[in-house]
Order: sequence, then structure tokens, then C-alpha cells
Amino acid sequence: MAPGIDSTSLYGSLNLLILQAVAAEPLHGLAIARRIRKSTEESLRIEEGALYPALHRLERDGLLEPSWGTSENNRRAKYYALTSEGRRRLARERERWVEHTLAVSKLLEVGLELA
Amino acid sequence: MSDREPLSPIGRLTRPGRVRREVEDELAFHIEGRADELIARGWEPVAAREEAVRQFGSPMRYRDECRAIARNRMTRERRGEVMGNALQDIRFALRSFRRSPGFASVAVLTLALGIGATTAVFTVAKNVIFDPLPFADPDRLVMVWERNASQNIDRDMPSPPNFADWRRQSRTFEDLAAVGDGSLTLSGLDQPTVVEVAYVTPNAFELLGVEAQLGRTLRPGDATLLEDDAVTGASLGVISDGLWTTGFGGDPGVVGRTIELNGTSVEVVGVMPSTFGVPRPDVDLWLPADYMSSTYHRQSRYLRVFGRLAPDASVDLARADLDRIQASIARDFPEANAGWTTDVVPVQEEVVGASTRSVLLVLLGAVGFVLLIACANVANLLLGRSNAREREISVRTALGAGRARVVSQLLTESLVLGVLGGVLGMALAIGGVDLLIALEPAGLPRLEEVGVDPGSLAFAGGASVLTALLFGLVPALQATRRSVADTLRDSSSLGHGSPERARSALVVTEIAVSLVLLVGAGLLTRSLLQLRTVDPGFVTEDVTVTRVNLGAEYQTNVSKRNYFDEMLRRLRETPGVLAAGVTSVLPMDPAGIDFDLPYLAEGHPALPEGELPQTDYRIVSDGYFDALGMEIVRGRDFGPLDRAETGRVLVVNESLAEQLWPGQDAVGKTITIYYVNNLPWEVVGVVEDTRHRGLGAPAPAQMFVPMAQAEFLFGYMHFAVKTSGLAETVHAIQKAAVELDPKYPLYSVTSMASIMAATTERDRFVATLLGAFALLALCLAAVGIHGVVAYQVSERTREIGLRMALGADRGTVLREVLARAAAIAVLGVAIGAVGAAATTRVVRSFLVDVSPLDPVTFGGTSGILMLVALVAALVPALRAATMDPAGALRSD
Repeated sequence: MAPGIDSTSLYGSLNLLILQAVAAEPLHGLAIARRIRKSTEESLRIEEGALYPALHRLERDGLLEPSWGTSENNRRAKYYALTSEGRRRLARERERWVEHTLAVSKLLEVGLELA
Repeated sequence: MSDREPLSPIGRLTRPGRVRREVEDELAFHIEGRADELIARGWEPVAAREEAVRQFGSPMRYRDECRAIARNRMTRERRGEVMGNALQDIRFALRSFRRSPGFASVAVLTLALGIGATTAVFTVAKNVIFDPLPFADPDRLVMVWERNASQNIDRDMPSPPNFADWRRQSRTFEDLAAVGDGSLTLSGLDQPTVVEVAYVTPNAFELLGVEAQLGRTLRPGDATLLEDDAVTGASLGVISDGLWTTGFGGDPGVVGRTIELNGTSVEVVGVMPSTFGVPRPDVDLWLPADYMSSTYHRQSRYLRVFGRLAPDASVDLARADLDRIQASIARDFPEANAGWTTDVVPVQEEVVGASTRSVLLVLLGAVGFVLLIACANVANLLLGRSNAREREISVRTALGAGRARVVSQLLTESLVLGVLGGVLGMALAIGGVDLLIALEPAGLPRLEEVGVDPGSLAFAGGASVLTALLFGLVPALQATRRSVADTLRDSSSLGHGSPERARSALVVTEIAVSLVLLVGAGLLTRSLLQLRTVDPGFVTEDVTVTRVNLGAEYQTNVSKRNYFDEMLRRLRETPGVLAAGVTSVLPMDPAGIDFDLPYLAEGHPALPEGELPQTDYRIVSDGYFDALGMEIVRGRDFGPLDRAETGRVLVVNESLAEQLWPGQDAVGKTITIYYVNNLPWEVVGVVEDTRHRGLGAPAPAQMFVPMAQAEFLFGYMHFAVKTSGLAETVHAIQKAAVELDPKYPLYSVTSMASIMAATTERDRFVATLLGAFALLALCLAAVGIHGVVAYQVSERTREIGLRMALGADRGTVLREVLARAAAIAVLGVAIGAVGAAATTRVVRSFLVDVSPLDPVTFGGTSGILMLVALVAALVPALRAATMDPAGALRSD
């Protein structure tokens, strides 16, 4: 993730961040929030509650699969996992984001190193 | 992240309460987790909680948003499931139809016939009766007629001066317009053709609110021509779509072209759309006329007047208003207007009269019956099929499909049948409507507006769905009624009472309804046959008729007389012509100049002219009665000795003679006719009556004056020619006319037979359609009976086999099966007869000399129906009788 991305430009990419966050393993909402905060290096300042409508939409649209489980502190929590459709969408969106950013950086003549 | 164990996948169809709880749990977990983090970092619990909530944002807002999304998700899932079920059902239905193509094709075809026929008739009925007329605000448009109660004139056409006074003085009309008829010879195309002309006041098109499809309509301010007069300078006119297509090949450059009409140049300024048929659909050309001018005669009544009511006026107010004006006219012109009032009729009622409405509604009812029978047949088919599938359905129910699910699957099958039948039926309907239009049933107004439109499609669609539910619901419920255990236990089903009764009941209904249709068709046919026995009073075989419309070159009576004399002379010399004559109007022909005049007969009290009786007035040449085969029963016909200079003579028909001088000899008596002058005429002959107004109406009283002595001779006259029947004679006749004056060809060549046939055209049309529907119903009912009897036989196979093995002979079996079928048929016929007796009064207005309860018709149709029923039952009955007993016993 490029550093210093301001929060407004990330709303559209919130879905992308969520999908990326659960790519490795199913997580509950709080864990997703922590992971996103960590990866964006604390530069992401959105209300954490906004995560939940996004999660529910992704679930409704078939990109996330919900299940109920017990958390690390023995509380009941709702976990989200990527569906196969979600995995496909994630790959597509990552590609698209990379292309978009490269194009913009060329335009702005900003040298970018993408991992 | 730590261990997580999914306890259960979230139930896909969670209830709303549960959704709310889950969302709240989820959000609460997050906030508490955050609070715990802060506490772990040293925050106070209360402050930690507050900070967690602050970082979260408004929990209620997010909770509501999530709940809305969840609800959305549930709706989508439910919809998906229903869709999935529906698709599955449809696929299943199609597969099962492919496995029994016989059943499916019979069902679809039956439905297609029913829906197609009904849609076709509905289309015509809707376009003609229900759709508003193609004018602006059509319910404000009315037609105005004149009437005179004291002279027994119910309706007469208004005269131009009266029209003009109404227009100037009325307070209840926005505007009034008038139309007169005529025909002119159009030259400049391949050959001179005679075109039907409507002379309209220039405000007519604006009043109606119609537009031209090309160019413009006539407008107020357009230079008008006085009817029949030549006009100095160019005039302008509007042509019809028909004339544009046939005469000008649809050339868009026709606007601005100049055409020649009877020698006058007229510029075409516009083309009307094909749906515009005022005053009649066969009008080719509209010319502006000035009916407001004072040069017209107040007693010449020949216009069609229509008007647009003022916003606050009603039909009754308008009539009272015009009656007031008529009364003041009568004060100033008593001979012309004494006793004349008006009749104001909404245009809708005028165009689509009560008789047209009743024709179409009768046909709609009849075809509706056909659809009912079709549905009954398909229901029977489904009942039979569901019986066979009982086991399959029970197994399905046992495996967990709820009854509702199975019923909905069966209903889907019915809907698929319905839709397939509807689609095919729609195709049939399009063909049917085209066929109906091509038949051009006379007297059916607005035919030019009839066509399949979205309304018809909607109707066909609706009919498909409704009929599917109608014939599908009962069998579907029926099929799932029995419990699983019952059907699985039962290895043989011995005609369980309910389905068999249902099927028989359906067939009884079919037979009853078929009888109603047959009786209706039978009554109409009988009526037509009765008409055929009526003597029209003239000969119809080999009588060719044609007409001519002499124009401005023939101004005087003398010039016209010379033309007709010469024309008759040439005609009589033409090979193949046996007799020829001229008349102002032919019997039963709406195209003639038909009017009556006041008269005073010898021996009758003198009265002021406005109160004198009136009778039909005709101008005929000698030879006319010969040509039509009308017999002179007393005295003589007109002859070459009756000239303009000799004494004025007259021929009356039997009715008039009987009416004026009952029991006396009319010959030698005098009648004074009040026309251009009031002149006495001596009766020299009495001619036999003709059914001038149609075979169903009594012969009217008429008087005939000789062409040679007529006070005013028209240029528009009809020729009646008795020929030897050869086709070349017609050509020779037309050639003779062209040779005499090529500017005025003879046109509209037809025969008295055709003219007479045209008067019964409407009745024949209704009888034919009704007969076709009755026949269709009969076939469907026969199929239904066959089906039921075959079913009964197959159900009783074992029983029959047993009885035959025990000694019953084949004849008995046959008789029994037929007896059962006959019982159904008799019940159906009885119910049908009662139904027919109750409903045939609907066609009373079409019947001539036949009672709606005519026993011959009832008896005959019942007999036919019984016969058809027995024949339909014969095949399965024979099969039962010729069954092999051993095989039957073994069957299941």
C-alpha cells in the first residue's frame, strides 16, 4: 500500500481492503479493522462502524461467506471468509488498481515503486 | 488470529428478529473489543467504552444500515429461490410434454383455437365498439338530423339553408359542419375514373380535430365551390389514402399536383390517413363547399350535418336549441319547414349503432363459449393425465415436497400449456382478423381501423393465463388430494368417483354449450332461408346495372333527356341486350337518389302543403320495368308516345294504389305532385310492388314519373339492362357509353343479384361466423365425449372382461357403453336446450319470420348433437365390445 493515502480516496477501495484483509484467513469485523489499520500504517482515519455496512454488502453480493464462531476471548463473533467469487474479484481489482495507479503516476510524473 | 469454530452456517432464511439480534451482537462485539484494548492500555473502563464508541461512530446508524442490507439480502434470496423453483418447474413441464407429445399437442392446439378465435373477435369488437373514434374529444361530437313527426319522418337529412341558420343562430354548439355527396370524373391518370366526392364545409376537418398524413386538410378560408358548379380559378381538395395509393402510386409528390375533375382544375393540398372515413370509407376526395350560401333550396334535404357541442351544452340542450331555431324558420318559411324539428345523436352512437353493437357482442359471447369448451376439454385431458401420474405425485409428496409445491408445479404445467396455446392462438388471431377484414362484411363500421394492436396482445395474454388457471386448478388440487398411503396401497383404481364425475360434468357442460351455439346458428340460418323465399318483386338473373354522372355540359333537362334517349337506343341495339331502362334509384340500392315528395291524390282532402302525405318518388324511362321484370298489373307502361309535350302520366305501384284508392281502379285517377311546380299527373298504370327497402321490410308505396316528362332530371342516373347472360355484353355496354360521350363513362357495373345479396350481407356474415363457431364447438365436444368414454372403458377394463368371461355377450357390452354415453349426451342436451331457450332472444333482431324458440331448429340441432355424441362414443365402445376377455382380466 502506498503511504499517505488520504481517507477519502479509500472509500471506494474499502471493499478492496476488506477482501484483501480476509484473503489469508477468515476474520471477524474487529480483526479486519485492526489489520486494515495496521497495513495502512495508521493513516486511515474512517469511522470503524463504516466497515460493517461494507461487510454486509459484500456478504449480500456473494463475495464473503459468513459464519458464527468463538473469538479468542471466548465471545461469540461473526467471521467472514472469501468465497471463490470473492477471490476472483480480489485478483481482478488488484490488477485494475495497479494499472490505474501506474497510469496516474506516469501522468503525474511521479516515480513509483510497486511491490 | 485465534481459533475459530464455525458453529453453523448462517441459515439462509433468517427471520427479521434474528437478523436484528445478530447485527447488534456483531457491532457490540467490535465495540467491546476496542474497549478491552484501551483498558489493557490503562484506560478507565467507562472512558474506554466511550472512546470505543466514539471511534466506532454512531452504532445505531450503522446498525440500521446493516439491517437494511440484510433485509435486502433476504429478499433477494427468496426471490432467487422462487425463480429457481419456477424455472425448475417450467423445465420439468416441458420435459414431461416432450414425453407425451400427443397430449401436449392436442391440448395446445385446442387452446390455440379457442384463444385465437376469441382474440380475433375481441380485436374487432374492441376497435369498433370500445375504442374511441379517431377524432379530438369524440364524445363532444354529434350528428344532427331533421325530423317531422306529423309526416312520420323519423329522420331526414338537413337542407343547406337550415344548416346555415343553425350555424348562425345556435348557442349550444362550438361549430357545425356539413357534408354532401357526389361523384366526379377524374382525368389525368391512366384512364378517366369516377371518384366518390365529399363536399365539405371548410371547417369540417378542424371541427373533427383530424390531421392529414401528408400536406394539410381543408381550412376555413379555403375558396369554396358551389356544388356541381364549375369554378373560376383553381380550387383545392384533399384526397384519401386509397386514392393516393391506387391512383398516384403513393407518390409523396402528390401534394401540389393539379388534377382534373369534370373539367375543373383542382390542386391537391393533402392526403388523409387510411383510418379517416368521413362520411363513408369509400370517399376518395374532399372538396370545400359553401353550404352557407343562400342559393340552396330549403326543401332540398341531402346533407350530413355534424357539430361539436359547446363545453357546457348537452345533447338535450342542443336539440332544444335547434328545435327553437327550426320553429322560427317555420314561421318564415312554412311550406318548407312547418312541423320540422331536429334529432341530435352522438357520433359514437351514429357510427356504431345498436345493431352493430349487438352483432359484435353476440359474436363475442359465442366465441367465449367456444373458449369455455376448449378449456373444459383441456381440463379433461389434464384430469386424465393426473390420474395416470398419481403414483409419481404421491412419491414426490412422500419425499418431502409440500402439497403447495406440487400444486404449484402442476399449475406451472398448466401455465406453460396456456402460454404455448396463447402464442399459437395469437398467430391464428392475426390471420383471423385479416380474414375478417378481407371478407369486408358490409355494414360493419370502422373496418378501416381494425387491426391487431397491443390491446389484443394483452387480451390474448390475459386469456392464456386465466384459461390456464381455469382448467389447471381443479386437476391440480384433485391430483394432490389423496393421501400418500392411499395411492401407494391401491394397485388398481376402479374409477374413483370424484374424477370420473368431474370429467362427466365437464363433458355435459361442453355439450350444453355446444347446443346453445348450434341453436343460435340454426335460427339465423333458418331466417336466411326464409328470406330466400320472399319475392323481391323484380328479376335478379342477368340484370346488369351501372350508373352515370353527367356534369356541367348537360345543364338542361333536354340535353340530359337526349343523352339518355340516345344511350338507351344504343344499348337496345347492342347484341345480348334484351331490355334497357333508366332510373333515379334501383331497388335495395343505397347509392341512388331516394327521396319522397308531398302529393295530393284525387278524392282526398286538400291540405296545406306542409301537412300533405309524402311517398317515394322515382324517375324512370320506358323499358325500365321490362329490364327489371317488374310486371304491370293494370294499365300500361310508359312508352315512346309519352313525351314532354303530351299529357303528364304516372305509374303507381300496387301498395300506393291500394293505399289511395282501395278497391278501385287506379288507372285514370290524378295525383298532384308538389315538386318544382305543383302539377297534376294521370295514372296510366299500376306496377307490382318491390321490396325496395330489403327483403325483410314490407314494400313501400312508390310513384314513378317518366323520364321524358320529369320536371327536373338528374345527371346521376342508373341503367338497368336485362342481358342474355354473356360476359361480352358488359364490355359492349361500356363501349357504347364511351362512344357516346367519353367524358362520362358508365361506372360501378354490378348486377341486381349483387345488390340484393348486399342487403343480407350482415345477416349472412353473422350466420356464417356463428355457424363456424358452432361447428368448432361441436368438434371439441365430440373430442371431449370420445375422451370420457374411452377413459371409462379403460377404467372398467377388468370389470368388462370379467363380465364377458361370465357370459355377457358383446352386443350387451356395446349397448351399455353407448347407453352411458347417451345418458351424458341427453343430460347435456337438456341443459343446453334450457340455456338456449333463455339466451336466443339475444338474436331476435336478426330473425325474420322465425321465433327464437323455433321448435324445428331446437329439435334438429338436438338430434344432430345426439348423433355426433353417439358416433364419438362408438369407437371406444367398439373397442370395449371386441376386447379379449382373458387379456382384460390380466390388465391392471
